[in-house]
Amino acid sequence: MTEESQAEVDRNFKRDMLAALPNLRAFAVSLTGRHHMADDLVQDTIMKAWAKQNHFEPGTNMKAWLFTILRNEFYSQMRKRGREVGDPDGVFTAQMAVHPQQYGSMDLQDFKKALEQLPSDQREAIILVGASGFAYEEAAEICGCAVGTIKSRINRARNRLQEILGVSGEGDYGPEGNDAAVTKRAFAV
Amino acid sequence: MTYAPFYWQVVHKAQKSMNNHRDMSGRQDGANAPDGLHHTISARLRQFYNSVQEEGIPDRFLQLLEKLDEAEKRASGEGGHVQASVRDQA
Repeated sequence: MTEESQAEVDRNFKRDMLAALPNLRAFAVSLTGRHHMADDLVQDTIMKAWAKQNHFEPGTNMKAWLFTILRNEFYSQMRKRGREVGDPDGVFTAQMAVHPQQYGSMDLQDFKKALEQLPSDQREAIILVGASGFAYEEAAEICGCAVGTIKSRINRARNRLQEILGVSGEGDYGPEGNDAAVTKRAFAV
Repeated sequence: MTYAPFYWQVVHKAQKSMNNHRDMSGRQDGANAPDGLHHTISARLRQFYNSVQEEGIPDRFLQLLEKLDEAEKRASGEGGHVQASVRDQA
């Protein structure tokens, strides 16, 4: 590889990393439930990714690579800190009050609280596929498990979120499509 | 938006039982179910996620990337020292 093309590779690496940061950070916030912790996690991920950039194969999925680093970092910190991070019902919920202004509506706060009550394996699965934009196969690779495992975790996560939140969505999103039909039928019971 | 608690109880209870009923109907892949309930959860998840994404990239990360870039240029060849010095500065 020539010097020039190496410089180009470096530029592309930095550009692609920058482009992935908002998504990566949203993943970190969703995973940890805390902005401060999420930003520290993102910072650690940037440092790690930078140090390992020679291991990154240009042209492969930068986003998936960064998410994998962040996820590994999260679980490694979780193991080090013990229950401080691993207790979604206690600490996560208590920390909720720290940044309420960061979520415009009560609805988002409710959803955040509900998300934090999920076991982390279910939480990461539903986030990666439902929000971060990964295919089941990519999510399985990031989490180091089978595609079927990802699907069943997502399924359990959805059921649990429905349980926690009730089925209040149709009120918040307006009576459209299936939601309206469900509401009507509910009243007919 | 507020509703009488009774409204919620009725809707919640009825839909929960409908949900159970649907699960017993032998549907295999709930994750792909196009039904309204799952759609709502998905929509709320994306709304929450997007609200964080739209906060953009905090300055500290842009500064960090710049420092890493500079440090790398300055200290090419020193390898591992680059990261340590950047972290100390940050």
